[in-house]
Amino acid sequence: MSLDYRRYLDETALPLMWCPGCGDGTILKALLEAFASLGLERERVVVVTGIGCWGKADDYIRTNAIHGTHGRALAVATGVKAYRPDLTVVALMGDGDCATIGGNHFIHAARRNIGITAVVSNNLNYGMTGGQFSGTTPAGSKTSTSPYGHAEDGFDLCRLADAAGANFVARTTAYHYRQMVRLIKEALLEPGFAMVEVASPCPTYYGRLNRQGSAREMWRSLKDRARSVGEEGGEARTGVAPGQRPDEEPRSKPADVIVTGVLVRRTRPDFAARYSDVCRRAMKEGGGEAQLDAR
Amino acid sequence: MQGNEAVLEGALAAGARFYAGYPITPSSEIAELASRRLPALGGVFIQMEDEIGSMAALVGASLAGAKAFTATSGPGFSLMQENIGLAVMLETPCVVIDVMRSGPSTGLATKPAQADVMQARWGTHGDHPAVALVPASVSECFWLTVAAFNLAERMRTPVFVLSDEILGHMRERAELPDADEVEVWERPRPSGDPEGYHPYRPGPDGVPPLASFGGPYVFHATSSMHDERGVSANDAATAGATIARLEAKVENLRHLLPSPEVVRSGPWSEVSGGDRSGGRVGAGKRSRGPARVLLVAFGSSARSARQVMLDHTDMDLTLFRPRTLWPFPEDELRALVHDHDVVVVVEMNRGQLVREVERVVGGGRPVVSAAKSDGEIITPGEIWDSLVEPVSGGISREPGLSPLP
Amino acid sequence: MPASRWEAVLAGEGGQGLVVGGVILGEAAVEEGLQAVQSQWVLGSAARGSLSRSEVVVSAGEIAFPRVLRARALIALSPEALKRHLGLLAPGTLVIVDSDRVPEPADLDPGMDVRSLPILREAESLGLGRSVNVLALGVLVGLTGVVRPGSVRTVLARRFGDKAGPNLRAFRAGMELAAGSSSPPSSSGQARP
Repeated sequence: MSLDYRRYLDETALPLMWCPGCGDGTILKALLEAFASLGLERERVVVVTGIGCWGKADDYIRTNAIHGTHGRALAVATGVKAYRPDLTVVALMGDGDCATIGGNHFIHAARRNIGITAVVSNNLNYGMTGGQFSGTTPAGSKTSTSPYGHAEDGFDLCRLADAAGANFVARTTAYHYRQMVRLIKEALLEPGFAMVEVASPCPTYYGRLNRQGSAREMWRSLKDRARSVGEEGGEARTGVAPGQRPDEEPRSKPADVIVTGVLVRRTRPDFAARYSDVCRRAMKEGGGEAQLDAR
Repeated sequence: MQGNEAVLEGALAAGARFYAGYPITPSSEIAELASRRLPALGGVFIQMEDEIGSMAALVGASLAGAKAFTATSGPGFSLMQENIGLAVMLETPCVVIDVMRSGPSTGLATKPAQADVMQARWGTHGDHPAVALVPASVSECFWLTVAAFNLAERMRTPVFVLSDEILGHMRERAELPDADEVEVWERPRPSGDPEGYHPYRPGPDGVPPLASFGGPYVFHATSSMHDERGVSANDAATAGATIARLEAKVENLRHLLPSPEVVRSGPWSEVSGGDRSGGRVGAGKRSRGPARVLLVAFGSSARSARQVMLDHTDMDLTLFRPRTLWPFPEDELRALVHDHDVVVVVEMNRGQLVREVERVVGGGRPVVSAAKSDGEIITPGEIWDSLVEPVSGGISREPGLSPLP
Repeated sequence: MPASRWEAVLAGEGGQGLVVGGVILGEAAVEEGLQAVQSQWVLGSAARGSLSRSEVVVSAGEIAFPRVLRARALIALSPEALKRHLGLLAPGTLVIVDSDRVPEPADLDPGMDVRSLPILREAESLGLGRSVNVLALGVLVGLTGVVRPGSVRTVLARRFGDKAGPNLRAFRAGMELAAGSSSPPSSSGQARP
């Protein structure tokens, strides 16, 4: 393993603020290692985060960064990428940021197919604010705001991204480090919208409230439940959320199987390509000159 | 040319090359024209999923180096407030055009109001500066939009242009300059060693130089309280100094804000010399009976107030018309108050600006509110009626004329 | 209002182009060195079929208040366009209505100068249905003389370029329709500002 990733790491900000047993530190390292293995220049990378545990990741990253508002990381990133399509733009969001308060930006970024790499840490609850349920929390789960069991189903983020039209959709877990690096690298190379969902443990809240054992047991469970696309139990094209299979009734326990790997690959033209066509047509039609009524 | 068109022309003349917005009456002409013009200029037009995302995209684009703007109306302005705060905190230049319409909520979508006076000042949470310019003509829609970009860049803060449905959809003659006649200001840029660049280390006037993403200066911007490096910091000293500096940088550059217009009319103006240049006018001698009235009005209401002066040239009337609503031009108003008997504040809302005027006048003179909030333009006759009570000297009421329903 | 202030409303259904008709009138006034302000309002979500109006204020001096309070002339090409604007009329106001679409308004103040003319029919018969706004403008200019016909023609030529032909024909047809209209007892809608 190369140590190159350290040039993207702000070591002065260490130690990491995340709880022991959290997956976010591992995801951070995988992201930086993906940067390193692609040889990205720090100057040409913009990391945009929202609010939440994983939204604090920018504190440790030495590329350009914007730590924005809750749920708006993709909208801020859209502004950066639309104006500077030549830069590598990465949005780091948790399930609260991406699937809940920012759900609208998420589906529209995927539909627009704008070249942002979204790395979503899905730990099935809001860690930063004390373990309340989010848009991916499975039905029946106990959280700080569902003490009698959650009355709603959670989103399958990968299916959502697929339905909205993302070019690249993949899932892995915090345990599967090498797969995670590989998938993030692929996502960074995708010209259109790319999303990597990482199933990540929250032993402090979700795991404790739902009796999933120690942090060690939660990590082991991620390992045991993961099925790469193509393996037995992992054949579904878009896979299922860490919380639930598509064909089963709402249930109180995380799914038996987490389908991992690349779930969607498309070649739809990205926003920048389409928009540059618009610019060419506009220039041809002379739209830059005043065509105003009633001067 | 229409007011909304002039806004767009002003934005382009000021160098705007990024628009993110969401359609809303009565501002949509600005988006439509932006979508027609920007692509051919190499700029970006993007219609976002909502106004929250629009404002967020402005912040991203501006930090990537764009002069960025959006246009909206009250309901959209409300949605933008979250990331207007982001722009304030990240010290991101950008311009928001609010073509005001009647509320609350959906309200009267095609009808005018000036009820976003306080939303513009205090709409986003926390202590923060606000800069809002208020045009009163199609020509000013152009020039104050240019000024808004210049100020946003110079001060590193969001700047609002508060237009309204009347101005936005009104056409009148507006002589626009050639592009090279427009003075355009750029944001302060860093120089020197990129390793030593601190995106929040203030310059002499409190404004830190701003790099653009993709250049040699790598930087970090955070909505959390931060130090000069843009790194999160929670201590009280940093927080207090940062919050104070955000306001101080605008105060330090107050002299750059468009000055109010002062117009005098009536017999008294001949004594004191009418001055339409906007400068301070010397005190005149009181020559006759009726009270000397200081009309305070902005935007399209100021046109109604001005019409009162044109219709009643026998009265001593002064119009104080802010071109900058926030920060309010209090010294300029205070300088006029002492040689007037009564101050009348004309606005299309339930009385928002009048509170600020009362604060500035400080009890030295009666302050009367001529406010109207029903989706219709305030008429010269209605303003005149509001003068009858406070003004001695026997003014008779005019039969009330009403504008079109 | 100062005597020099001249106000008019051009109203009808969306799609008839009366908003643009008002714009052209305003531009023609500016062409002559006058001041002009035009405002528009469209009721309903579509520009077609709903009530649409253009307000025009013309003056030799400064125009502060931008809207119409006392119309010197009204064009109404639909029943709704007349009904909605009765409150702006005063004795002597020139009221131009389409004779096929707008029934003779019985309750109208007898002091009004009402001209009921087949504006829409005339436009159709000349194959100028899309220029009905300019034809109506021709009637207005013919009856009031608020601007010189040449100024309108200059604006039409500038706005429409190669395609100005039908609009110039429509404008002339409107002027002729005005000339053939019976002379009123009073002519308060007239007079240049």
